[in-house]
Amino acid sequence: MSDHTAEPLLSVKGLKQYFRINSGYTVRAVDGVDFVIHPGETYGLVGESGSGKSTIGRSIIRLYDPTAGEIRFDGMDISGRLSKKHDALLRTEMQMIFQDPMACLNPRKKVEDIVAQGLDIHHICKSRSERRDRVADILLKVGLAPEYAERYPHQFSGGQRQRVGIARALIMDPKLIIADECISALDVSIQAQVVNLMKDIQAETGTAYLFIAHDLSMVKYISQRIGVLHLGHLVETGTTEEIFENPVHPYTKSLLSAIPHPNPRVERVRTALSYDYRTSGIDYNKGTQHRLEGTHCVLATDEELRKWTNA
Amino acid sequence: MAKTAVKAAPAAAEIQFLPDDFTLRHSADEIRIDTNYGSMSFWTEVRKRFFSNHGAVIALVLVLLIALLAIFGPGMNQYTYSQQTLTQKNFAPRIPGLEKLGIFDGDESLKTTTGSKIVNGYKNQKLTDVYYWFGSDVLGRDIWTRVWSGTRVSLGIAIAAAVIDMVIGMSYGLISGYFGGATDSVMQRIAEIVNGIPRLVIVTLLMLIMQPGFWTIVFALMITEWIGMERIARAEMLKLKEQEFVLASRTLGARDFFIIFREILPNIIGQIITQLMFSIPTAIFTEAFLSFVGLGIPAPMCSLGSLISDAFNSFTTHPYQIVSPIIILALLMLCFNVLADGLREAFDPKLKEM
Amino acid sequence: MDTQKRKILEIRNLQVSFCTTTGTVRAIRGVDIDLCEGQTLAIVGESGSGKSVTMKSVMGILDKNSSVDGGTVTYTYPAGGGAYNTVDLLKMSRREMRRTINGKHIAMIFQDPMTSLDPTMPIGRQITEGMIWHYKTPKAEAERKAVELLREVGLPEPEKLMKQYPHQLSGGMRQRVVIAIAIACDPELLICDEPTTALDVTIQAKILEMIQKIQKERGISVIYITHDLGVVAKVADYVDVMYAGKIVEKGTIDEIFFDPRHPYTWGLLSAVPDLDTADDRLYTIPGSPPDMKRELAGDAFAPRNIYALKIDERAEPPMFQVSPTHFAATWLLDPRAPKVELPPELRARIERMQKEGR
Repeated sequence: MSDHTAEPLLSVKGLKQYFRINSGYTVRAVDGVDFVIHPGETYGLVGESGSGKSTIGRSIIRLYDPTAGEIRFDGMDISGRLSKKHDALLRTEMQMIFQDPMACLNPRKKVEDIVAQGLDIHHICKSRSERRDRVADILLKVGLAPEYAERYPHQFSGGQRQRVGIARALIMDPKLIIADECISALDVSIQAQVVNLMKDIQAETGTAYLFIAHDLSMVKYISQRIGVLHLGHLVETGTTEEIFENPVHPYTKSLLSAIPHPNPRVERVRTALSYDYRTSGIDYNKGTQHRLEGTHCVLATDEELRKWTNA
Repeated sequence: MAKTAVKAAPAAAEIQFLPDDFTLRHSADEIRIDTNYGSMSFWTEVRKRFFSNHGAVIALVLVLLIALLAIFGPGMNQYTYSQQTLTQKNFAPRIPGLEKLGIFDGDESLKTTTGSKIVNGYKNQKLTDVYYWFGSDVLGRDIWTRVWSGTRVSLGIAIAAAVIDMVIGMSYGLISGYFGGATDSVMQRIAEIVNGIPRLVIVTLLMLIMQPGFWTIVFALMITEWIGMERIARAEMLKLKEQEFVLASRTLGARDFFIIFREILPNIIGQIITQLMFSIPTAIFTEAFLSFVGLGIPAPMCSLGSLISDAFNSFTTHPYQIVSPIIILALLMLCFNVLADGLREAFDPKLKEM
Repeated sequence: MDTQKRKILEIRNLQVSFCTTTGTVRAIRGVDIDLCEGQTLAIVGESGSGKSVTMKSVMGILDKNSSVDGGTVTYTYPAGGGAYNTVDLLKMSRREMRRTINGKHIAMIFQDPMTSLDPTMPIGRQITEGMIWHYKTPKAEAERKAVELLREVGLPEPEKLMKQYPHQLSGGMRQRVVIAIAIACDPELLICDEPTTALDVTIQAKILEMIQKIQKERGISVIYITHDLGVVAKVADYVDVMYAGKIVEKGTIDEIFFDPRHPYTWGLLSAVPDLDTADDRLYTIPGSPPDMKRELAGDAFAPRNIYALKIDERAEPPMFQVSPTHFAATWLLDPRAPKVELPPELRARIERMQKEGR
């Protein structure tokens, strides 16, 4: 499991990502987010559409340049300009898996070339046969036959393509994999396969995951710690037990109450709690992170915190 | 109301049950590796779709036929393209074999003020062994040889210009689209300015500076025609830039130019080839037009356009001189257009498939 | 099915195939569906199961490269004055379908509210369009009805909404507008193709509850096409599970959730993580959804079925009856088959679920 006393693998402080549309209008996709991920653990980042969760993933891996904030990965500061060495380390030790299995693989490249792309860019393999062997090993590990290395992506199903994407990330032996809604576009039974695969990989290699999703039941199943995002703010974070057994923020409570149960008896009588940010009187910009216990933190003003914990 | 068990198909009654039918087939760990059935590769599918389009196939065959004749045609008889026999000018077409059927026997009807008259230059000079398959022109040159030499020149100019345009326009559009922002703005403004200058002005200026000839015309076409390819390349790049496989390349640390030319370009090669095929008839026509107005290939070299120009004056008196280059020009343009359309359908089918 | 209730939709042995450059695909290979008045049916399946195609053939909106190879779709609808008409929808031409059935008696709503609405038309016009076309309602009356419909689907300030455009609304509001358009001409049957998949989870339940309310008030029957068992658990009376173009299990909701008999249904139920699962692994169906271009002899599910019998390789199982309402197409129900128990995790979960509801 993870070691909470050691230096965290990834630490994000005050991350802000704004997008300027034109001179009058800026989208504040991420507005001040702090969290840490420890080596070998899975951190689930949950939110609905427009919460900024995908943006956080992409800012961390530097697909966007963060507007503000500090990101430390494996001891390096990766939020400012990256030196060549840092850039190379970032591109090998941190990898990403994407959402759309149809779009995440280049349709004109063979699976072998797709999976070995990282090896090729960083000149890791010394010979073609070594490259072929490493690709074959990884394909076996994700549950695909090595013969498929000669095929093209459109000849595979969605779940198989997602596994090729995982193989591409995994072959670099990364310390952190950011999974950006990587199961949302898959069938239910295939989601379970992919999630089982990710858990197996974590048990074997000790990779950490930043699991970005909107399906809370899957997030609960795979994550040790969870962060709840709403409108670019991290409103609550803690271990899975802390969040599910003792949710404090009203948004978290409404999100948990909205999870559908595959049980007709429960589902027919369930009513979801409603939460409308605009009329709730809460202003995220005014709140600060309060630590409740252990790693459980809530974004609130002092007064709100008193109200919620006493209620 | 009790429903009886519904059997799916009448075949159920005919199933022969074997003694070990009802035993478990797999053990739990057998189904570990995912099976996958290969299907056709992209190019095979494209080929299949293309060849099922009969119009496009016919166009392709015709284009190949014309190209073959352009290569071998001038050598098929004893004349060269510049050889003049002034005593044998303005002869009508005469083809051995077909002349026995009464057509292409060297006869042409001339309309004079007193009525129409059949004139046969071969008979007048008692030439029984002289044949001009497409006739001879005002300077006694064999039209067949000149037409196919001219086709060679026209096709050569068109293909050279189109290919160079493709390379320049494609690179320009891809780079402009990929980098976006200020780079894109500047590059697009430059392209718009170049596009705004009329083609004729550029060509005329070039003619003043450079010697008229094959490469001058190619250069002239190159300067003006690359915009079409550039627009297509840029539009496709903008579509693909934010696709997840490009993002994946970036997260793996690929350099920009690698992504542009090795990741994205293979995905748009279909559109590029189609646009190339469309730009060839445009180039052929532009060159013909330039030659027609006298800004093109210098004599004695000929192109389809210059042949039409030469034969224009005797259009009413000796129509056969203009007919062959016109037909070949029209056929080439029509066939390239149909071919390009067929390619576009093959690469990007409109039909919705599962 | 209840004999008191009138049966409005009866599909028998539907066969549909597609023609592609890589060959003919038999997408639907013999499907039987029944639906009675006022009931809610959920058709559950994954990619390649054919659930959407089945309903598209009911509506007559299949793509041009598809053909119906056989079967009947019998639909019964009120023809005014207490009388009922019964027609075979497959025999009607597209024009007849558009004029008499689509919108008027059967309406369909789709998954993506962004693309279901015309971005260039104001909302009010999109709702009144159908009414004016089918019933020649005068414009003023149609607009009045449209405002009432918007109120019925729970949208605030309906008069203002009439003039707005789709891009000014959120996803949940758009889906409500889509539902309003669907019920504008008072259909008796509403088909919902994954209506909540593209929406946030906090809005999903509200949309489903709203459909249920409309259903009860107007006496509409609803068919849901979905892969989300949470949706099924909430709304369905009857469930049909589809795999590779055939129905593999059908029954009431309690029968399917608490007494499933087909190994595919077991896999589906186990693949969803339960909030109370303390399991380390989700039991899952191995392999991938079937490639419909390949015709397999025998049971299409056999390659992925760890409970497959030898006979599954040769012969497709017929439907076996478990109860008057519960049927499953698996050789495991044949008296000669070995006794196979539910996977232990699934059985534990079912026992837990049954206790929960009390």
